Amino acid sequence: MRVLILFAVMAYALDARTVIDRIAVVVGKHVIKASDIDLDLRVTAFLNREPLREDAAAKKKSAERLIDQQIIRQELATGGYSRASDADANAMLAQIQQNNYGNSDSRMTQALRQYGLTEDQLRAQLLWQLTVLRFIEQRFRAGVLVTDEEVRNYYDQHRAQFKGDFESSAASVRNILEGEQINRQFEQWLSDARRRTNIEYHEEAFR
Amino acid sequence: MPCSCPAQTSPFEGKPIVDIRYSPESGLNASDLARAQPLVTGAPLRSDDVSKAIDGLYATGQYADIAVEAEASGNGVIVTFVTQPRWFVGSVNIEGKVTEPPNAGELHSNTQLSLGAAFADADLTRATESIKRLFTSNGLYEATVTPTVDRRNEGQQVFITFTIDQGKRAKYQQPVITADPPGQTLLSNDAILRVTGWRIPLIHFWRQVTSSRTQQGAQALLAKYQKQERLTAQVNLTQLDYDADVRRVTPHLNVKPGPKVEVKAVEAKVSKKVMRRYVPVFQERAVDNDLLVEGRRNLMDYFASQGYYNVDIDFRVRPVTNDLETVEYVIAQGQRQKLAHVTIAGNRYFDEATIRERMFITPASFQLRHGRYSEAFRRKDEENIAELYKSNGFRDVKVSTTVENNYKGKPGQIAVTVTINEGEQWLVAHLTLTGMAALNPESVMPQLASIEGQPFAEVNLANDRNVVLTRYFENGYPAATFKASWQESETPHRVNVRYEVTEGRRQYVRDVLTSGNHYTRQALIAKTITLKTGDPLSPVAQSAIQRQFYDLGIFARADTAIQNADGETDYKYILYNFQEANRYRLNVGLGAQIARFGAPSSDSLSNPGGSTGFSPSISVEVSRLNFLGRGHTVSLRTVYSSLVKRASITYQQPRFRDNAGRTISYTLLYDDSRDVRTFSSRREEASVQLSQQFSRSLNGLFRFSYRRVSVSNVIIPVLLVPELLQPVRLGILSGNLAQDRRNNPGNPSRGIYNTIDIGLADKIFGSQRNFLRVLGRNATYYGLGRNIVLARQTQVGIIFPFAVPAGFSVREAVPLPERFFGGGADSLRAFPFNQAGPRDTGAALTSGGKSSQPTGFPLGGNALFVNNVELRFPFIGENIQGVLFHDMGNVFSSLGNFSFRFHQKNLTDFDYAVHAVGFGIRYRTPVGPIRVDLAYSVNPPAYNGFSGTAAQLLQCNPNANPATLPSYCTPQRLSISHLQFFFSIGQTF
Repeated sequence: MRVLILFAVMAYALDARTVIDRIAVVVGKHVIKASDIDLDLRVTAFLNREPLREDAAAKKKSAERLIDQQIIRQELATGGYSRASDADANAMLAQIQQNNYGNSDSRMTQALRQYGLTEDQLRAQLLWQLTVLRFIEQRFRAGVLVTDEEVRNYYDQHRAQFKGDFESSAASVRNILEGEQINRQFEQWLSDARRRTNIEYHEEAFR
Repeated sequence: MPCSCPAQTSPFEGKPIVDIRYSPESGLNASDLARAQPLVTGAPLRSDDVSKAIDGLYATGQYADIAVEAEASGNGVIVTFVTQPRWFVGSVNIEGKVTEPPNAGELHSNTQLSLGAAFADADLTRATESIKRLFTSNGLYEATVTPTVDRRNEGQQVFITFTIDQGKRAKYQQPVITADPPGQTLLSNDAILRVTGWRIPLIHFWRQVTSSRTQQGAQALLAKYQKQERLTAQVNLTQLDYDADVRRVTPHLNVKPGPKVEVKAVEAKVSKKVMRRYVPVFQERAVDNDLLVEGRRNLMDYFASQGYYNVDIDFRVRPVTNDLETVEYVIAQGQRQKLAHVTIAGNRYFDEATIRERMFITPASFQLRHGRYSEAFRRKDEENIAELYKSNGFRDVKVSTTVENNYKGKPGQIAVTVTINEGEQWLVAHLTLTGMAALNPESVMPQLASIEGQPFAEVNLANDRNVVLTRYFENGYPAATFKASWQESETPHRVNVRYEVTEGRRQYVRDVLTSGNHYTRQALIAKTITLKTGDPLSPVAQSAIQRQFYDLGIFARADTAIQNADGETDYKYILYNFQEANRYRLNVGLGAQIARFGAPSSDSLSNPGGSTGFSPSISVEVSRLNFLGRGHTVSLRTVYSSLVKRASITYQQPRFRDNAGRTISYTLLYDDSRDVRTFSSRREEASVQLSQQFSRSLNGLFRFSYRRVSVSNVIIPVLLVPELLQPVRLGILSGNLAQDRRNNPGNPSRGIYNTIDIGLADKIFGSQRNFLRVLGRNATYYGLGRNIVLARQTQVGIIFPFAVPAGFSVREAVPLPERFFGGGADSLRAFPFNQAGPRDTGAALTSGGKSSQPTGFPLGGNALFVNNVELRFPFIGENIQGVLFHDMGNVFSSLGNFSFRFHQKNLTDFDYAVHAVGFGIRYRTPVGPIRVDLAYSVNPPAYNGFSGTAAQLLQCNPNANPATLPSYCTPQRLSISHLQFFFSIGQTF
């Protein structure tokens, strides 16, 4: 009997196949894979200096981010936008190292290892994030218009936030308002683009 | 996106891959699979490669889902791609009885399922809902739609069938009508109902609901308001409520009548008709600034065409007063002028005619009394001429125009001089073509416009781009790109051109899959498909095959598509899906002929020249198409009229011996014709005919026919001899060659049409008479300026009898029905139908035959010559053409008696050329021009006739003393009328 059980266990073990990657979401003609979600979760946790969470809710949240990024990627491919350079990414990487790890290579490498990441993967993610920021700036900045009246109203309503008088704070206020408008336009564009795009979730990847 | 998945792959990362498996088997071609999937046996497993493999496989479009599994095997790892194949639409069928509307085409298009496109189960739900919506819009609220899907692994295709039970159609009931402003429909509800047509007048039965009827009802109401000059009226169908208990639909209409709109001209007279034609507010049913500006422009062109070249037009819109909005076009006509002369100067490279072809400005003529001129036309002509020169390398061309008022001292008359300063012609010094590796550049070079020594123009670069990319497209390179650049050469006015081609990946045919043929044999379809596995994927060849399927005439639809066209694979399936046509075809035709003819009479010998008659006819044709699924056709054709009784059975086999342009047909024919006044002919014939299309313009055919011809209803004594009356068997081998290079066979304006028909009747073919028959025709058409055509045609026919049987003269050896007869609307308009040529003079026709008093009946001849010349010109408007014509020729007794002589020698001489001149009108219709011709025969033949009965004629002995004969024996001098009138369809030639 023991022998039989042993054979059964061995047979199961021999036949045990592990899913190492799979399609998680289809976005138009492209796919987001389980491995993409995993990487995104690790990078996000590393940058936020939080513990890695890989439950279904976290995966879903990551998938949503990646869907948005895929839509932006498609727009970038057709729109002729400029991209961030490796130098930009390296500068940001250096800044992270400076701010979080006292400019220590070994501490940062150790931290990356804890999150199952390599420096190249992190650099690529930073490069991509900078490209997205640049895209948002190029794509939506031109359509933003903040009037002097809006600047004045905002200053009056949020006077406590500003240390100086209106004249000295006007530029900051304008920046805030422009940023809000850019965000609104970006979100609207993204929402429209998501509506136009075929998005299919493959639930097996989130279990 | 770079990927590392250490948590998942770490147990296997870096281990050697010992096997790669697919579950189920990959549906991809081996080379496509190798390109999409980078993992290889023996290499270490890398998570990045796994990620790329999923991306690559998904991009092929062949999979709906992909998961990658790893399994330890010794020191290595087995990788398995677990996939869900994607399905593609193989066909969409609609089954079940559907009473239109909607028709089958609408149902198909509503499914939005395209042949070869990816299919998901959700598409089925969407298509079903869409069909249901189409049914409800047509009042079929009870319709049920049941989809079924048949999945076949070959090509991962789904064959979808929608089974329809449409149920009963709902009817309208009293509509709900609202107005904006409320209550102001300006029409009573009854009037509105009448206009919509949703209820039958008088009996007040409600009609059945259809989508078009619903829309037409709303449109009719809108038209009603517009008829009241309410051009801005709006009628909106807001909803349709269905009451299932009574199966009735209540339409809800919201109307906004708006004010009346009056469009009028101020300071000039313009009819309402002209206003409606040129001011688009009437067509667009709106009054806005853009439309009024367009109306102003149209009116200016209209006035310019009337000679008011300096017209100035403005418009104003008066506010609504008393329910009336007024639009006023203020028109300052200026002096009426005439463009008397246009001079073109300075042109050396192009002749004047070439330049004038591109000009709007036109001097006054018969058609354009005041010519055509306006400032806009003048500027446009300058641009067009400059463009013409620039496209031929004259980059520095300057075109200017000067206008001379009071030309030749006549007030209101102007002349325009177009001065062209051509400048130097720029030529291509050198062309460099790079990047063409798969195709031979030499094969493209002859088609390029910008080759060395040719004029340089940027427009030619674009044309060359099309030439090159089309060639690549035809050869399976859909992603080929072409970049053109140029720079000035060291030699002045010379440029060096550079073309760079990036070929991209080539695509090939993976296989050709067909479906939808239930009766048609697969072998017939396979013969038509010339593309095979491994051939370059050529959409041109694909379309050519589709055309050939349609040419078979057995398919109502032959759809084709490339399956998964956007998928990143090099090997693609080509799909053909057929809908077979109805295999039976029935055509019934009713017609009538009005002309000067007359059937043979059993007693009266009067009117040998025929009299105006009316001959109704009925024709019935029954065809069985796609006989035995081989694409052959069996047809029974019958014609019955007072002049012709004909029946034939034909078996037609197109693509004989797999040659697309070759057809063989076998025919049995019975024909009883009474279209010659002298006799009735009967023909019983069996024939086999092989036709061959040698090129687009050259056709040939060989025919062997074996027939029995006989004559009856003969009452003129000279023909009442056994030699001429006995039935004759004829075996004839004939060949025909036709060269047709006319631009429009139905109504040609240029080109050439030649035919030659040679037939040999000989005893070796079982013929009882021996003769050679040749009939040739040559027609040419010349365009003389715009819409004027000079057309001419010459027909020559000769019959050579040989091995003449004993008792026959050479002339009479040819049986009566085989001789040439001529005259009528389509041959020689100097004569009534079949009235040209030799006639009965009373002389015996055979040795020892009877002679009699002359009757003047036509006897036909052994030679024919007809020459027609026509000048065709625009007469009234676009659709009525005028024709001046001259016809000349005759049917002659023999080739030896052929003559161009103008005068008839005596009453027994018919071997001379008869001339006719005349005028005709052609009215253009979709079935060809309706033709009316009035001809004046200049020198018609006179002849002796007999105005009595056959019995009386037998009492008139031609050898007796005339004084002793009864008075009716005196020959009557008759002649063909000078005036001939013809009415028919189609050009004369």
